[in-house]
Amino acid sequence: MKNNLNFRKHLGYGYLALFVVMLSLSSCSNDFLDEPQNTNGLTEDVVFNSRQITESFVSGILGNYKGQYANVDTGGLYSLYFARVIKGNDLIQAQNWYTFDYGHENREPNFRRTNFNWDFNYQNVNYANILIQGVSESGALSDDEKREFIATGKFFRAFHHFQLVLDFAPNYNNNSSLERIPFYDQRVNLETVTGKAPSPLSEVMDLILLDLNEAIVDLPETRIGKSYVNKAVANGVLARVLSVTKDDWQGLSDAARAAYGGDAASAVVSSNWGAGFRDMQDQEWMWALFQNGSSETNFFFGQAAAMMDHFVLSYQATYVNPNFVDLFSSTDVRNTFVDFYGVSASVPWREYVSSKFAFAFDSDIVLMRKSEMVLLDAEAQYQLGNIPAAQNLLFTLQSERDPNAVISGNTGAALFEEILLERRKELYGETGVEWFDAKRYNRAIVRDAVHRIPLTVPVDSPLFFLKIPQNEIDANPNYTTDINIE
Amino acid sequence: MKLKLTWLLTLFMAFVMQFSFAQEKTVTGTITTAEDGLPLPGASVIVKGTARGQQTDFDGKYSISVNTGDVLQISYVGMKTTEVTVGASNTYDVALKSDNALEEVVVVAYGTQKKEAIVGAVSTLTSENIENQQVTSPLRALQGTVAGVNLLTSGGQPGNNPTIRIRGFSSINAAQGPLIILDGAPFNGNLNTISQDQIESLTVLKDASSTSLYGSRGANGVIVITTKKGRLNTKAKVTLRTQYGVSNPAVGLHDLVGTEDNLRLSWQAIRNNNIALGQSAADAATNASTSLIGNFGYNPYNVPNPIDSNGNLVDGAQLLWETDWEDLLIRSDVPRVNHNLSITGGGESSSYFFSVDYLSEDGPVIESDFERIATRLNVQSQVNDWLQVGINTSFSRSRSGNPDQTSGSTTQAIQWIYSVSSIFPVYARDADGNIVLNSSGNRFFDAGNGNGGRLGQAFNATRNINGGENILASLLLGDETRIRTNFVGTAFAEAKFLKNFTFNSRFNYENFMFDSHSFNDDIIGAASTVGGRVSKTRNVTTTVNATQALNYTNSFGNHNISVDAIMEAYELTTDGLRTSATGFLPGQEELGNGTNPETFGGIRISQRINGYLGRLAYNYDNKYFVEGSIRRDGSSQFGSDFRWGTFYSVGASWVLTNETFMENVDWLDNFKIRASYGELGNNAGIGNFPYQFVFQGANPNNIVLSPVEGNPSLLPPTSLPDPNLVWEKTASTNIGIDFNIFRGAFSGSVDYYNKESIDLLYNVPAANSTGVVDVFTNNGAVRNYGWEFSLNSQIFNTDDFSWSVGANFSLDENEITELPQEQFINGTKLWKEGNSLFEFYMREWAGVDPSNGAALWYIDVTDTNGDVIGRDVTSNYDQATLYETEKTSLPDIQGGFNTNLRYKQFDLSVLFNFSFGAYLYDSDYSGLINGFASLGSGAHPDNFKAWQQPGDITDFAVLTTGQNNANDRSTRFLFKNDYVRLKALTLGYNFSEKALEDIGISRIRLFLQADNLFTWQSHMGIDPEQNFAGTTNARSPLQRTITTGAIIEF
Repeated sequence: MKNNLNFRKHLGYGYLALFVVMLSLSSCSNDFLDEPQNTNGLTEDVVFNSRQITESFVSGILGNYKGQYANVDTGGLYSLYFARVIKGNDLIQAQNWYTFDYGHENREPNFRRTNFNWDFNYQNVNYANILIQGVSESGALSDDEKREFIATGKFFRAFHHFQLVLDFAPNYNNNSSLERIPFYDQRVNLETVTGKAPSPLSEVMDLILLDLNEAIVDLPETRIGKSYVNKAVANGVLARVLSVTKDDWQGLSDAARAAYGGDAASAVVSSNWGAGFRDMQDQEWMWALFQNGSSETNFFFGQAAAMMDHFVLSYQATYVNPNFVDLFSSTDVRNTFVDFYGVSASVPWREYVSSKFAFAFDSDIVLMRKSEMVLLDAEAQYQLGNIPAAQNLLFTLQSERDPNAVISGNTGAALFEEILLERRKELYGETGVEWFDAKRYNRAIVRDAVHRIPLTVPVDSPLFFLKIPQNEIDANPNYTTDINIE
Repeated sequence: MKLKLTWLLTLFMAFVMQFSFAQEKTVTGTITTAEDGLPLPGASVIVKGTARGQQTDFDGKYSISVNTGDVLQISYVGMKTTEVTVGASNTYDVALKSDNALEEVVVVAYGTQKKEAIVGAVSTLTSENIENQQVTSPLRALQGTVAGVNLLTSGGQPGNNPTIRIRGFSSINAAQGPLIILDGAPFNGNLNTISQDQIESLTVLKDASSTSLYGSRGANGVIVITTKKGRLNTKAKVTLRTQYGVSNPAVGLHDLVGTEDNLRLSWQAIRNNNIALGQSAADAATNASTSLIGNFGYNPYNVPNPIDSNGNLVDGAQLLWETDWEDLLIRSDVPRVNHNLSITGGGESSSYFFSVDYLSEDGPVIESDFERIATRLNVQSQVNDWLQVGINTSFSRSRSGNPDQTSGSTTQAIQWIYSVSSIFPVYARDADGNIVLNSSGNRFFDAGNGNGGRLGQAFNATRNINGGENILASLLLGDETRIRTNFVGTAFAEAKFLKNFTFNSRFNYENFMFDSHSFNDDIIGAASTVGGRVSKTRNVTTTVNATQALNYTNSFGNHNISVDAIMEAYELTTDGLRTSATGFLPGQEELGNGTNPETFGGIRISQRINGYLGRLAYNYDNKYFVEGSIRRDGSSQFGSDFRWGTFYSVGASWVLTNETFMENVDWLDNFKIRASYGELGNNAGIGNFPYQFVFQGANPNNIVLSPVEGNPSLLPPTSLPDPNLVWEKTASTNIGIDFNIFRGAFSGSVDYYNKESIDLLYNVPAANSTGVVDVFTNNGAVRNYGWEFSLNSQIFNTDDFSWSVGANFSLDENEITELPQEQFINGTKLWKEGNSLFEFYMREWAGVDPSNGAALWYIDVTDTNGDVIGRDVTSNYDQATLYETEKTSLPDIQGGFNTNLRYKQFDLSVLFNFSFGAYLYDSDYSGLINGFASLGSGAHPDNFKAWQQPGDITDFAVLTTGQNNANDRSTRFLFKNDYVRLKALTLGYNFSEKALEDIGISRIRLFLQADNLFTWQSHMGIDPEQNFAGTTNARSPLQRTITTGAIIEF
């Protein structure tokens, strides 16, 4: 009897324990798994649910322009420009970053210039399309806000497709039916990751112009700051595009004037010459990359200042062609050249360095200036046959920079050459106008013998554009390696 | 009918007889070991079939009440369980025989099993094996000791953890390394926080049947680390171990030329380039002499043009300096010190293990060191006859000087030795080569960017190689410190109830803190322009794991079953913080002293897994074993519709030698056949929310976004995630045999495995024009298969002399069985279906054209249809054909062999590990024969073999400063990487126990230990352990360490 009781007692506890165990084993766990949240970032519905967060996406695109994408010379928007700068005859690059661009050999399908220029621009195109789609579908933004953000998106989409046309195709006017690059007007999804087929350049250019013209209509005059885009900046880009298509000189003049404000004399006044070209508050600067001086210090960024300034600790890599130096009068504020090292006897290309750019971590990086627009206007006037107008515009700038300047009596080809030379003198080290003009006007780049790498890039040479990246050919069924046969 | 009645009656009578004899009484006895007859405390004496039992006391005695006819089951870990039937006597002394391999208990997933019952592929390394090596990161002990484990350590930084691959590479983009389990829970800290002396055993679970209980994390194999425990009823044992020794690099670096030779070679390269530019030979030579120094920007001689137009040093030229960077950066005879105290023992109901270990070790590169203190306390208590509770705790802290010696960075020590030649001085000099002093009157490091007020100085100020840096400034003025703190605690309780049930509950908590402090000098180096920089990172990784396990074990005659039902909940949380500031006054190196905040970042994020597990093990008479496991896992890493997966395995084994028909086969002691199949998962190494498309702020797509005019910024990802992402799955098959012939004279295991991994988490390349670089999705499949052998022989085993040898090796193959695209070039490899992930793909070197010194490669010749009809050579690198070389970076065979000798008081243990058949692409070497396109870099003496004039037959192309492809990737730099390493040698002497007894000491051992003592390798100049892909990255070599030590035990 006693045994029996004990047994029952024992059994009772045992089964209770078993029951508890089973209960704990089968408790519901979906809540447990749902609890961790992705704190890495914001999902799309959150981003487009407020003006503030949508604006920070625009800031992200612009922040990416000054970031360091891969290497110093394949960093952000600045490195795309400096690579063009260093391809000309006016500047000389030491064996340092950009040396392969300087040598015109950084264009093969696997090279970093080729990959970077392609990826960087197309990623920005996709960002633009995400912005346009996200804003369009937003239920929280007002119609006015939507129009403004969509215009911003179209600006970016046009701007980066234009860079791709410049870098990956021969001169647009030589064969506008050539199929080199695709135009994307939709964001990528899982079904479209194999890419689109390249379109004729003329179609790409039409879509660029369409986007820009629509952006100009809806972009406001005002903006958060000069890092951001507005109507004037969009007009400036339109002027550059029309200087490549060369089929609407009046439109180019209109766009340039809309960009610089119409009054050349006040437009060309700049506080940056002689002050290190580092302050975006200058009224003459239209668009720039803001550097606050503390967030950028982790990298020696690869913009012109870090390459060209020999007077502070930086790369000290860029020298100036002595023949280019000779083109400046001694009273020209743009004559920033000195023989710093005194080694020209043994290493002639190291004779001159420039103090145009002062490198500091808070040196803003210039992207567009009114003086460039004034010179584009002068070029348009020349092409329209308004020679005095062209001469006056040219002199407005020349006299502002050099008190001893005299107005040009040149006409015809000489005036044309003078305008292009003035672009080089005004804009050296910035966006690569020497290369840009050689390309759009089918001119050769003939380097002087003093160069570290003397060479000649013949008219319409394949060296004026990059090959299509191998990665694209591998993954996009619309490309074959034939695209790179020259 | 009558017959039946009679039979029943007989049976009844038998019961009555039984009952009448069954009288309760108390029997006593002493349990001893059969080997030496010493009493055995803590042995378990149980009345078979009941829960009644006890453990023997200090003197090995027991006393238990039984009925006549009961069976006493006496067991002890490491001893063969013995049964005695109680008869008339009241005293039963039993001598337990030492266990042979059959009765070994091995750690398996969520528990232990008798080795005999294992149906899968499991290898165990015990503390005795580990003791023979000096492994700062303890899993390095697996190299050369466990078949099927491919392990290498990249670089000589002490404390570096090895990269481990078990049975090949079953993933491409997710993690390929095994799951690490420490005392029952996943370990997420740094393995170098665990000191080797605390480890009782390392168990490597290789096949599906052994890992399937780890379900979604089991596909890459599992390593189970079990720490030491005390034993009940054992006297306290205090062990003191102390070791001291010195280390040197195990192998040398590549040879380099000195200053004069570098200048002569550079002159030759400039002259050749001048000729190529159209200059006459005489002009080319003269111009090379005059422009040489201008090209370097530095003149290490006292004359303006030290190399004459014949390419020789001019008379009277004297060196002003010649920098031996290797001598300045690599140390010799650095100390390694290790002290350890452990105390272990147990009373009647509680046992304990306590250990404290101190280690200090210096690495090959200056400033690289590792200092650690690690402690552990494991306590368990038998509360009553059904409940046991325990707690394991460990605390470890290490501090390590961590100069970069394995990356491609400019301030990486080895890279610096190779890329900055002896032409460049350590200390700043003026244009004439005189040492420049700073305002305090001291010399200072030359950063090669005109530092110290030398901007514009014509010579000796601006370096084209690593300008702005000086490695000595970086290492000596800067600071790279890593502090790792790890706390691990495991609490557990085990209750037995209802006779056959056991409920085990474990709770594990781990807190790992990684703290790095980096200071870049404010005067010299990259941060000098910002007044110095302090960067700090503090990451806290917390793991919480809870398991509830219910086990039912029973026997029905010859049928033995064991059933487990387990639930596991796991959470991994990382809480990271990083920040940097600039603007430091001299002498200040603390973050708070900075002037400008620079960067910051931090995130708290976690992932969870919830698993339900079941295991059923059955055996019939210990001959036929069957085991099945299943696990259902839910993971927060996948979308809610895709997060649950089921993983399972089945396995069986047959122990032939337990069959009655084998009883007469004397020579074969054990023969067992095993087979298993299962499907496992892998989700490691893919982040916390790989399926989500989120906009990121600070660091999207690995680009640092700085605020735009003070406004926050966001960007979407450039890798498109697949919201339908699921686990990788691996189907794994294993067939193996275990055998033991002539009582251990020859024993071993042979296994064949085949692992098919599908739905690989793969970054499918997108057309980059879409604005994304890839799509992260499930795609692709690989197969790994191979053979593993583990063989041992006890050649002699007498009291005075024993000698055993062992070898283990594996032959592993890897094959891509499915890819989302036809083929894909991944660095030096071509990935396509049918290829190995590790087969080199590159241009094939065809030597040097004797007529002009041009480098040549092979090129396929095709007919008009594009079919290859032959091949030719070309000097145009871009046109040369890329070939599948059929050479892979994985060895054909790799493993280890060991031998253990004991003669009286002396013992010797030797372990070699080896690898044959692998190839290595040595870009360290190719960088040293770059033909002087980059003047001022280090150069290998092989450059003197370069082609100089028509007719020269050589394998080294003409030197030139012009753009050339001579050292670009080709089979020219693909070398066989066979090696044998004497990984560990221990020579010991044990004082005779009898002599020590009188002074109260139970053991004194003196020993000498050597690690990486000797390395035989087919390709010199690098450590043979680089990486699995067979590429180099200027890694520092491992250390050769020789220490002497003593162990005292009382």
